[in-house]
Amino acid sequence: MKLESSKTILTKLFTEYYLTGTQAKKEGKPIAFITAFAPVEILRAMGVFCMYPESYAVVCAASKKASEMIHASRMSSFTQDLCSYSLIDFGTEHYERLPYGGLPDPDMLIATNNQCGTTLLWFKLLSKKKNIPLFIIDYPAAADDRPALRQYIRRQHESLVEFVQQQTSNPIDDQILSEQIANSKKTCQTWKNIHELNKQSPIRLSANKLINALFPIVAAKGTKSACDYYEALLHENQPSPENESKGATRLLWHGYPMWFLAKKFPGCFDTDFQIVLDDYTLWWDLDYSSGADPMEAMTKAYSSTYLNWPLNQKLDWVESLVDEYAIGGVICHANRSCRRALADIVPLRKRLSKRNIPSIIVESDMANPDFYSKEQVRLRIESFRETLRAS
Amino acid sequence: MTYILGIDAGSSYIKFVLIDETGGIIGKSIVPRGAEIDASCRKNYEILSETLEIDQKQIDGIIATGYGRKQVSFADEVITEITALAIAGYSITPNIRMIIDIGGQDSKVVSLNESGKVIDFVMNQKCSAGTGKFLEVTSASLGVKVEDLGPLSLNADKDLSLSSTCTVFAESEIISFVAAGQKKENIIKALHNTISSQILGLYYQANADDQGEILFAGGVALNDGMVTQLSSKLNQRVRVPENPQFICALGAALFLKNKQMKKPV
Repeated sequence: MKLESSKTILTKLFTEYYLTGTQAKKEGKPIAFITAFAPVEILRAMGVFCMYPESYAVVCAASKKASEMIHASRMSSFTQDLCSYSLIDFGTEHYERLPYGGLPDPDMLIATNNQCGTTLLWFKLLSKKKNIPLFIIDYPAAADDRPALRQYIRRQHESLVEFVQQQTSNPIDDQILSEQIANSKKTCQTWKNIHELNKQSPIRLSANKLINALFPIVAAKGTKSACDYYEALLHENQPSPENESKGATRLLWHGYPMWFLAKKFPGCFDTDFQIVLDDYTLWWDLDYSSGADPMEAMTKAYSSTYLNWPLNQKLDWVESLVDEYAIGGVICHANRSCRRALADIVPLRKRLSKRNIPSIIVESDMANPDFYSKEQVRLRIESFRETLRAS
Repeated sequence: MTYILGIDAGSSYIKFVLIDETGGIIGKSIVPRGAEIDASCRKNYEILSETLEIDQKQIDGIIATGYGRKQVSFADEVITEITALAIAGYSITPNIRMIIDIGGQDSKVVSLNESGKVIDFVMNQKCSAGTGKFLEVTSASLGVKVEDLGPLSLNADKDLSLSSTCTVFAESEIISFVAAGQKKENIIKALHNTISSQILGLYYQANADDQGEILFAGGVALNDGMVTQLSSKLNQRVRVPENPQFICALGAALFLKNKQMKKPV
């Protein structure tokens, strides 16, 4: 049987995600809005269709609607200083030309603090405004070596099951939960393997292609379709016996891409000066390896997200990527929207400097093009290229 | 004799430096940027060569740097200001380890190693805080010419503090100071202090090497008040080159000269 191409699977996944959401609403099936690192497997095992407002904000930004939607959010008196994902979501209320006609109204909200504090406030506001029940999960950092914290997280996952059961009357299906966890584990492993193709030179997938392949691991992790997609992508990009390209500068992009740009990264890159990795795409490589118990696996996976790590762990990880991917220079995106991601840039540059790894900062935003100054960013990247070439 | 022309098409002014085969400066000029960068560059190139009585055929290469560098259609080569600053700074003295350049639209801090190679650089954030534009706007609100800021600030007798680094908000604060009867000399000193603090932030980010000299380039380096404030914050007297506003154009010209010398004959 001929395998489906990754492109075909991705198109289907994307379309189905939005169509199924609308259809589920019509059929009276429960819908949850969840934050990017919420334990989606539990919800799916209880028959809940999950949608990600952050992912939708990315779609709006990529559709060049972010600026208008953010301006529309001002009708609800929000300041531009908030996270642009949340502003895009707040703008949906006052904006008519929404991609895919907008998201259906949710029946419940699940928010976590393993990425930032803004999502909690954002979801609290949604809950209050639309009178929708909200469940918040607290993931303390560095829970790995502390059994009491792991137990605390596990109990919250169990409480989530009770919460969803109250909302839907659906019991949890343990078999589906196990399948979801197995799929998530496989998806993350394959995603990591795909990235590792870029350890060789020339790289197999540009950072831009990796960004465009991110949607399934964000919005469909746990499903078989997501597994199939990444298997197909890996299969299509097997290492080739091409000669190594000598002298090329391999770059790491640290942090969020710029979703409003057609190519997601600003500046002129080519095979001699190439982003081989954006560490942001690896933030979704969660660790489901802790045992066969699904609850235990989720405890580890969701408490150990990149943005929830202590600073030194973050810096160690980025440094390990620099070594593994033979990085010659790092471009740090100071993303105005994300305070947590901003905090590690200066210490990271200090660390890199001690190892003579050059780095620069470019200032912009992940989704709001109003905070992007094309010429200023290009000048910084061009200057970086010149200095790397001269060194 | 052949020459090389370096053009620094900056956000406020365009600077021209003509060097000879030895790297010595033969002539220079500076004009406001204007709306048409390319046309302005051409016109002033003509004027400069006529003034110096140099046949343009003797000009062996033209190189542009600065924000408008890509708009100089007759340039043979373009480079960024970071590279230009490094080359010029190192040519002034190999002891230079840091270069601070405060331009009209942005400020840069470049750190060099002992061979003159750039090891790091940091530029100001997107807004105009800590740039020449900040001084331009705020001096206008005081009714003082930019060139008078330095001498006036040296006569300050009181320390004032501006709480805002934003050009727009700082202007409002200045108006409040004026309304409160504060002397303009003291207000100007406060402005210099604000910019110097911004630059200090960049300096520490640029993985600064404390062992070498610090060069202060760009038009703002002509302001003695800024030189004093920066030196005080950095605990080291910053070195101001002759004609600091021409440093980028000079560096660009030297870059092209060095490149041409390496070319196989």
